Amino acid sequence: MMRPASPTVAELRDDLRSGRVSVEAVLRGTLSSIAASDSERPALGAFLSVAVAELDDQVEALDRAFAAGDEVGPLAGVPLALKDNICTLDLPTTCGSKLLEGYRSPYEAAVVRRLRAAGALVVGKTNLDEFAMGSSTENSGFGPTRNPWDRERVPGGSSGGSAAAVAAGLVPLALGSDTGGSVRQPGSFCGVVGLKPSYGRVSRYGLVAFASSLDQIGPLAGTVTDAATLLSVIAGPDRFDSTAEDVPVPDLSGPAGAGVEGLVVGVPREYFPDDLDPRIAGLCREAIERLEALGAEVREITLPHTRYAIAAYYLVANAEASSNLARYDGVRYGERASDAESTLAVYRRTRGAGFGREVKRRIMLGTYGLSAGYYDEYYGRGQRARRLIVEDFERAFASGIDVIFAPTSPTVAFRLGERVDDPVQMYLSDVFTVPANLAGTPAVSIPVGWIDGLPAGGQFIARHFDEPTMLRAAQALERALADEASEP
Amino acid sequence: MTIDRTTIEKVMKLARLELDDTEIERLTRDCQAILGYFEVIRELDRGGVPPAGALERAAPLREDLADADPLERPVEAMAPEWRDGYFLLPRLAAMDAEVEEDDAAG
Repeated sequence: MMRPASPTVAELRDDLRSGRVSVEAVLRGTLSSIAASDSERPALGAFLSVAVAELDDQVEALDRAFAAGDEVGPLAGVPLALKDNICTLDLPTTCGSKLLEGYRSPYEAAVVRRLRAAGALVVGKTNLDEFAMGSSTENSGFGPTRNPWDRERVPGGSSGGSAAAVAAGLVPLALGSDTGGSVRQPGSFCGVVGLKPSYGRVSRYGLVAFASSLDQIGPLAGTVTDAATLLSVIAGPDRFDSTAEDVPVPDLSGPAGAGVEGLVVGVPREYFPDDLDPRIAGLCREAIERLEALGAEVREITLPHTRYAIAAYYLVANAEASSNLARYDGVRYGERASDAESTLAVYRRTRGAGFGREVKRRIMLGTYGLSAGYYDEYYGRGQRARRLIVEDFERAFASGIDVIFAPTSPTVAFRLGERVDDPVQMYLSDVFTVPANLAGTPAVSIPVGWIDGLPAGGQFIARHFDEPTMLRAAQALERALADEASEP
Repeated sequence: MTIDRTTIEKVMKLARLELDDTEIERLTRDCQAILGYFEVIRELDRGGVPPAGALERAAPLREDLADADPLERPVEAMAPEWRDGYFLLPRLAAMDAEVEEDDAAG
């Protein structure tokens, strides 16, 4: 696979330590690449805001530390982009919504505090589908992001800006959020690594809530190792998020190079349906053969309730979204509709004018699904289906499977505008990614090959909190595929 | 599971969303298509399977002490309208009447 143009974290660290390059020069180079990506036509549109003077003090301190040979954090001087639903103090947090245009958070997300402590340069905030609702980044209130490999195509979503920024080589690392595949699917569409940690692995304090039983912040990176490095910085319990579990964070670099010898890889037959694009099926089958050649034992498995996953996901996620988004009422923050004559009118007009089409659609479906007389019909059924999907995974792992491998998305990146008027088709983009969110398991998408000049991804799914095994398998496959680089 | 314009108008009130005619029409169509796709879930028997709890892993308890994260910016810096320590809103009484009417309808 072709790697993004930016250096890996390790390469950058060596350059900074040896003094071949300064943090100041790295930042300058990053900012000018970002500006260049948006001055081309059509613009890439990966970023919604960029730090300019905000990082001066940090850069100066880091350059002094490198020059003095002082100990620095694991991401010292590494440029990093944040999806714009992660709260920052120095840059606006818009969630891609007109309703939050210019909004500045009064506090910083837990992950951002950890990144700053690790020395990372938070260079900007990236574009997303409004409130992370979408699979193409076309639902942003500030215009779409384009796919760096073909600017007439979408980068995937909802973390499309973060995936495009990494794929275009603008930054080596970015964070996205994955509620139903929003890190992995854009990773797949843009040819980068996209990692959804286990539910409970990373604090969501300061991540603007979409569907609280599903949301998880995750890394996008050029390599599995870099994604693991970033995860190890952001993972762990947090006193401000009780869902970030108080369990030890394993050494995520430990399994590096350990290979897949002896690992049992499950291949779910439901993820290779008859109507799957044969080119995607083919690339994933080749990846499976490669894993076998590396010493893994491959077993076909069944996850029989996969067919209910999309319905279960959208019923549950929309219900939670309709509740989480009730806070945007124009009272305490955000844009308020100016002409409202009563409190109720403030609510209705602010929300009617501020939310985009997809967000309204999901609030309506979620409200309907929770309303009197329909609760059990919709939300109740969704949660029951979810239980069956959780049990599918539990059965597979109990039968001796160490890690599951499957396609990340049923298609490569589609054209801008191709699915905006067909919500069902858009939702079906998530068919292979939502089950891991419903089950809370970790999953990571890595590039597995090219189809007509566009990248395709495959994902590994592991037991809850077993990121080490998942990363071990992903890294082994990544290395094997790198040996037979097949660039477009 | 069908959804018509009347239902959409009712849900729109519950969701506190102002929508114009074109939006209502489009949403009715979209929601019909989406809920039509979700029909697949009706194959599942409602009995027997307990619903999944999102947080089946026990949420940890901590000591019952206030431990707020201090805000770096005052809340009034974000407020659309603010006076004397309060968020300002128009005519609350008007809302009460309308809410009662909505709740009766809903």
